[in-house]
Amino acid sequence: MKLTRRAFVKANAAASAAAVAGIALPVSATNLIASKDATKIKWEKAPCRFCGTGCSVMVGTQEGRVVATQGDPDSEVNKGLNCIKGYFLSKIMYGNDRLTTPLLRMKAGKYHKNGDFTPVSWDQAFDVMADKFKQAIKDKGPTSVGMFGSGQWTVWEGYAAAKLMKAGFLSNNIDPNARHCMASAVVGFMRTFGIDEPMGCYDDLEAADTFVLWGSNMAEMHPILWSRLTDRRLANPHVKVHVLSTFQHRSFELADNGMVFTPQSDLAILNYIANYIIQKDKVNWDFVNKHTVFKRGTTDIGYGLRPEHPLQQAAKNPDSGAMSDMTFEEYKRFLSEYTLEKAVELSGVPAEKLEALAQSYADPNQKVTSFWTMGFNQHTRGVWANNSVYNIHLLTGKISEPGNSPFSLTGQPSACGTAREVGTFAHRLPADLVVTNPKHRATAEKIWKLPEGTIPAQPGYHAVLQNRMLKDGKLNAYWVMCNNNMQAAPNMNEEGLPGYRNPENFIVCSDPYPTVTAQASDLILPTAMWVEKEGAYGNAERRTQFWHQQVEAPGDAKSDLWQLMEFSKRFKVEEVWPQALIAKQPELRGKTLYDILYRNGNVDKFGLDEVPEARLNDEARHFGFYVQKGLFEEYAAFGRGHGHDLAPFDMYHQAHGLRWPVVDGKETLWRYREGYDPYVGKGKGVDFYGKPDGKAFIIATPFEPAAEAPDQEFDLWLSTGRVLEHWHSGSMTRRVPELYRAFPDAVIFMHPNDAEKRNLRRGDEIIVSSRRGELRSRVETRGRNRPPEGLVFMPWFDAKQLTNKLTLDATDPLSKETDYKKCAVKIVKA
Amino acid sequence: MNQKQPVSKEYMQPQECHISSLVVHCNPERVAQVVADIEQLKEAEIYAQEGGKLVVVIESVGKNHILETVEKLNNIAGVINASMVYHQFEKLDVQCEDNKL
Repeated sequence: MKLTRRAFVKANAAASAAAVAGIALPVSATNLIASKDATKIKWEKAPCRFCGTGCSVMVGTQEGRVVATQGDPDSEVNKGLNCIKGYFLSKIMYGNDRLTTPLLRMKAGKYHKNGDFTPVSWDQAFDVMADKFKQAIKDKGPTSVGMFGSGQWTVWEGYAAAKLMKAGFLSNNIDPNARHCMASAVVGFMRTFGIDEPMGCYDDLEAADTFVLWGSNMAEMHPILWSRLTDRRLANPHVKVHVLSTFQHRSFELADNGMVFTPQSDLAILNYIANYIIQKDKVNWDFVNKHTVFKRGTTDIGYGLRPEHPLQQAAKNPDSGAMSDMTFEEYKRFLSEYTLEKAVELSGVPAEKLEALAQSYADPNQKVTSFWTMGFNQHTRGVWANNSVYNIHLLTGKISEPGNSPFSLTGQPSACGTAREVGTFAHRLPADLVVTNPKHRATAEKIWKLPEGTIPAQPGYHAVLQNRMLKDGKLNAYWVMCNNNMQAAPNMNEEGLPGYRNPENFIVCSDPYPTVTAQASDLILPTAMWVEKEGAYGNAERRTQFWHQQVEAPGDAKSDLWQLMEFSKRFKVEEVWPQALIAKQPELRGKTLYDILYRNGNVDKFGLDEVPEARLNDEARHFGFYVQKGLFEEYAAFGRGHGHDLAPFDMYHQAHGLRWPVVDGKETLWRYREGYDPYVGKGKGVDFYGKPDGKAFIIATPFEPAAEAPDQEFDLWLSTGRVLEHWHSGSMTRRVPELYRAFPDAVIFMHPNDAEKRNLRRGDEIIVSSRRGELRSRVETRGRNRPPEGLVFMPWFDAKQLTNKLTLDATDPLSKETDYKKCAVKIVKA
Repeated sequence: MNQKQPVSKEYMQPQECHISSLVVHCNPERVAQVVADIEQLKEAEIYAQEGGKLVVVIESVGKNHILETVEKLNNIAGVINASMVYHQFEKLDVQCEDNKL
């Protein structure tokens, strides 16, 4: 039979889909003929560039370009599936406005803060940039330089950056955009368990009887995990899905119990559930007695605003994360005010729905998995919310075993792998170590072969504080890498933009595209992305995944790794370190930061003989050694042997990802449980070994109101977020024609009654304003998101409608993460 | 090329034929109606079905129509989720044209 080309491609496509769905195709559809043309495409694996799910895709290259992608059928994460963003991955590198040369603001042939962007060479770019960094350090010391990085950095890029800042420039002013996204989850983990990241894994999706989505809209934000959850629900009629959100969205389609609650009242609902468990005598006493202790959290902690802000002044214990011991009886008394009536009153959710939710958690025969993302994390009490959901799982012992899993999802491909595990935060070092602990600093200095006292003890400026310090002129030389923070950071009118344009400051932005951030900067560095370099990401289930470079970057675009290491060559140690520090290790005299940080015998340990001739690896060939391997192996030394074990480098290039701790070549699916986790000794059953006594904290914290709520003038809640088609600020997805067209402009999702009250019709142009700024948008009263009266939802991907002119820079005082889900706005017809 | 002839930008670019496959999850009680609705879409074809799962292949000319079809699929009552699996595009030339078998 002769098969046409078109029929062949279609049959091939159907066969792929059927294979991943586990469906047998009718014989007529499987009659494939191998085509010579199909072999022209070279296929290699890579993790997706977008969210924290960590799907693996097969990337097809032809003549030096990525031409196709396919869900990786051998991936345990996505099992061959793709969401539509992942599906169009092949196009993210080929936007028309891809940057291929450094651009510097110049007037009359010289750098000028108000000049026009002018193409320059890398040498010219680094000359000016190094000069500005040196000047800042000379004038005001190391705290005047800083860097804003990313949960999209590859593992070794984040590591190289953290090392350059903390051990090179002696500044802890490095923070990732993961601060906007995962910081509350991190502090939540550290407080309850003493060790970061989820104990469970995605295999919980096939083991749970009950799923609870706390604010998360998995259907749009984690579509592949959602498809696994859907599969579980549809194939097993006993499985139930509870969905909580401040507005109705696509995940409600599958909900057995959908609940729309008043913003901030999640805190009351969480405490009501804990109270219900105790009142109904459903506490798992054996578990609670052996494996937990009760703690009282400090209350009235403020809102992470500037110290002079009235709300900060009014707080009794601003920024306090202190905890004190409490007994179970005291905890029970503390919870007793969170009755069903109170939870109903605060949340607006009908009583029978809340009771059904509480009952699912309390029933010892239901395995419960809870999922959450930005709803909990971007919350002025985000850490408390994280702790409170752990309370429920700990009280019932529903944790650390298949299907019983409190699961914090992530938003970025390497928020876990890079930002958290490498520790690119202002207070962190790799493997959960912190700069404030002298022993931890000593560990880092030893691994890095640096003198005692190199790493500063004082945490640096966190993300929101960086913008404030730029505005105040205390942070002067600043490098933004691998993110679009001008669009992402809150309150851009009052903090971000004045900070970047402050004449005292020099702002550098590395990006593949001319983003809002790039355009607000003084120097733009063109950047190689994704499979234009060798990389590693770590996803939300502790899975580390590697990929090889598969194509060359266009023009003069260079990877973040190349940029960081090449820039470090510009600094003689004498120019940045005090004499006293150099004197402790005199052999460092005369060396550059490059020599000290990256030619230290660790990073340059592996030669080019380990990089096959036919293999693309621009960085290895440029620096003359297998730099990715050297950086990874040095970094892995931090975590091996104490619960953060990573496998040997080469193993990751073979495997489709491995979940740490990887001990003796074996990954760990459920932590803290004997039989699954090699760190739990025989006979222990469960051991929360992040805490010295192996006991997790059940932490009592109350409901406290939001930083800003609607009033007479600004009479609507604004919640911001994402849509399926676009990822974060849209710098990549808006350059994929299909995705752009599918959702070209942001809109304000609004209840039809709220629209009517304001004389608005669907599609009308409107002015949305808050106390901080305003923007123009259009009304949408239909479609995928259905807010209740009194709340509007706006996605933030659209650079023409900068949502963060409106948002408030109130943060969780403990995690310093912004609450993007709650501020007050008003809307009028334009 | 005839300079006087007005040509749209789209026409200037080589036409591409896009073929995609999806796994569509739907509510098992409503699957019959979902199947009927998909069959109404001329650019979509159901290749296989099992319970609430369908294998759907989409074909479109020009690159802008795939997601419109996916959005249409998502908006069909009873569809819970549509995941894409495979995508390939070809220049629309003789090879891609259907021949009589």
